[in-house]
Amino acid sequence: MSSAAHGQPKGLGTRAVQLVALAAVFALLWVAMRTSPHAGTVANIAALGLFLTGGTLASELLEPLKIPHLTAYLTVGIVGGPYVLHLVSHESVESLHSVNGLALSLIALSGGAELRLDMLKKSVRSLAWATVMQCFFVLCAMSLVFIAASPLIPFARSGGLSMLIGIALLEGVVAITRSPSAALGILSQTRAQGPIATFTLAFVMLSDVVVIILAATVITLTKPLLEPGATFSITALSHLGQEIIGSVSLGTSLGLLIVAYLKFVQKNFLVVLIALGFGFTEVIKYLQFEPLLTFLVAGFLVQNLSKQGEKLIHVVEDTGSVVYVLFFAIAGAELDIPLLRKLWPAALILFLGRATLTITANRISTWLAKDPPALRRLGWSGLVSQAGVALGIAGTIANANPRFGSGFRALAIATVALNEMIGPIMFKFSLDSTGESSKAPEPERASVYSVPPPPVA
Amino acid sequence: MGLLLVAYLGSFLVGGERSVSGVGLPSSVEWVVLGIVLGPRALGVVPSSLVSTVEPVIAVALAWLMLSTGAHYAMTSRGYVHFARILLALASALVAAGAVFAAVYFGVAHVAPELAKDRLVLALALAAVSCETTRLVMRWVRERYGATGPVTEWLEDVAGADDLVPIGLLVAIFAIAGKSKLAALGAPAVSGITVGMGALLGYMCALLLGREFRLRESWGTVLGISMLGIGVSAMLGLAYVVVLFVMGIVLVLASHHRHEIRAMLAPTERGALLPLLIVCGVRIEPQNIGHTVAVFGLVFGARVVVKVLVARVFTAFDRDAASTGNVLGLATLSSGTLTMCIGLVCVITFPGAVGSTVLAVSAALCVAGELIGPPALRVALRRAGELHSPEAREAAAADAEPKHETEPT
Repeated sequence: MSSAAHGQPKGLGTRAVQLVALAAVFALLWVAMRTSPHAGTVANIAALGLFLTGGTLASELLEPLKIPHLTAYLTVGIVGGPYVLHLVSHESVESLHSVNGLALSLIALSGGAELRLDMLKKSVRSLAWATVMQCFFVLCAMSLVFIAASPLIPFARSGGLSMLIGIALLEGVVAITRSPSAALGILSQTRAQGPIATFTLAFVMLSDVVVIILAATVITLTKPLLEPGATFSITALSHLGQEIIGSVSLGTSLGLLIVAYLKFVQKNFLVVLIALGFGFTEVIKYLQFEPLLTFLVAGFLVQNLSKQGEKLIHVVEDTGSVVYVLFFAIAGAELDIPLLRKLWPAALILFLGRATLTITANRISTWLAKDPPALRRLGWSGLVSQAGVALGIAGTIANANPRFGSGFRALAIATVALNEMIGPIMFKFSLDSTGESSKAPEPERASVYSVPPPPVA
Repeated sequence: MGLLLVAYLGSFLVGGERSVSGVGLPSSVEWVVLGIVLGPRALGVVPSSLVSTVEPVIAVALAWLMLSTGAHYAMTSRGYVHFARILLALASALVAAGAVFAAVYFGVAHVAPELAKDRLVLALALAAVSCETTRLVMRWVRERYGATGPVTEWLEDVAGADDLVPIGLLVAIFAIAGKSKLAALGAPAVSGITVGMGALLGYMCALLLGREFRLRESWGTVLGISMLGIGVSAMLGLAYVVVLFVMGIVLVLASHHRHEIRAMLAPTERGALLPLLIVCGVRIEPQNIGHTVAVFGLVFGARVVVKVLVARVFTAFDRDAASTGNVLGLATLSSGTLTMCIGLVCVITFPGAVGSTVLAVSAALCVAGELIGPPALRVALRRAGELHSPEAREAAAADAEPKHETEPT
């Protein structure tokens, strides 16, 4: 994915070529869009090309500034997307969601496979305290921040106090979501090893499960506060139970299938993964299970109950140069910049409040767990990023509450935009400053794309 | 995605990579037949609407195949094809294309009058699908029968270097009759832009791959620029398959990593090809079977005559090939991937009678080539004494036995 760890720094000539190429890519698509503004589905292919090529080039160009590649991908998405240069239309961004599903499934598989049981056992105390503080404490405290900022938020003032408390709790739920994709993307780029990298990976993956449970619980509990006359119903929790058990069961079956494939077939595993990413995600959605959790469980099972974990990680890593670029560039194109401009005061308060509370929660939890100093100081840095999970939960809340749903979703999008842009930078800087980022050249190894030696002509 | 899965599982059933040397056919025409069986005219498992929905995916797969074909252009198992042989291959393909063009242009009004008004496009498209010899047939005879020798090499070089003619014809078809947004610039300018864009993207890709070849980054670069090329050229109404073909040629010419790039692209060909062949089968419409058969007769007749004549000229000048006779011409009748891909491009670009006829004739050429080409090739190379595998020797002995019975010495 990068040349970050490839030893030799690139010269001025190479950078100039990359800059010209980046300009040429944008210019080509600009000409095509001007000539054929309603190109339909072929425009989606061009958009993929812009995101892949532009994202890769921008990440190379921004490398001397030590800015994470994810931020470069996001920037290309924002600049090329429907709100700035309009080289990619809203319709194209919508159509590319299926690619997002594939990316998310690969990211979750890889995340699950990175969770080794021995690593979890070692850090069980840290993870337990972090879960309590980062999930429960931050949820309650962010609700208070939201109430404090409510004079700036029109939809928060539309009801009485009970409604304000209800919305604030829901905002708290959105605030405790993290971004597994951003964490994995940065770790893949830096190949970091150390307490911060290990803790972030384990916590972000596990907190995903906690967030799903908490979100469903809070949505159910706040119903009477938000809708006059509504009563508390246990049905939603029963659905939640089914969703989680179903996802874990399906993930286990999928994991076993992957183990069997890697053990007995191996051939063209990448094609199988792509088919799984597209096809299986749709099946999971049809069954109303949670795709992220399903693939996470599958990856975890392959890693911990078989000897195929490394193979799985390598295959998914090999797709990194494509998957992460597309995922974050599409996310960038989706960022509603005009909305952010409109809601920036409230979004900024929520962003700063969340970041401060995350740092505070980290200080307390690492002190309680007696964690190493590096983790006490910078363990929060990987927890600031937010992306798809936060937007997904905000969307669910918005759909369930039409009275204030659109405003709630808009504010969540604006806040997530800030977290998405600044979070990865913070995480990378902390990994670089603590020396956890790898400086050694990335080892080239046989992979799914193995290149045999050149033929003797 | 379902098509990809069916094709993928199918490739397992027939042995995947072994299909050339094992049970598969050199032209892979069995997948087209599978498409016909699965399609709306037979079992109805894959409706036409589904194929229309996945048209962008088909475009990407087609262009990707052309990128790989371009990257492997004039490259055989022995290395690069000599320049003189490339010229010879191009000349032979041009003669075949010219003959088919003339036969269709002047004959279609007699055999299928309803197609006469589009005879220029039809003749060009049919010339494009009928002038190549698939390189897979040479791989097949090498792997299955251990063929080696000067005639094998000559045929391998011709099959590896004649692709430029159908691609050139495709440029002409798009420039004359395509729906280019740049049509106001004139056909030569549209052709130049098509080729120029491919060359620019190929060169840019080679520059970005740089001196140090890192496989993981290379995928992002090659895939990204290919997607950009496909998308932008399709938006402008240019021949995206040609853009990618030229990009493939320039990429391997300009990059230090040509061997790695070829090795990177080669394994992806089958994954892209099999669903495409199934789609070809699904898109074939047998309602107008009457005029399709008539047009096929014209095309195939012209193709056979020209191939035999070219082989005669060759055998007259080459001592090694002298013993092969007319059968050498029949040996070059096999067509496959490129023919079907051009047929598919035509049916997508020119929906209606012209596109359907070109696709149906492409499939028929592959089937006929499959029936005649490989057996003729085997006979020709056996006559030239270039089959060396035990299987070939057994076949030769079996062929020799009846002779002893009828002509005892």
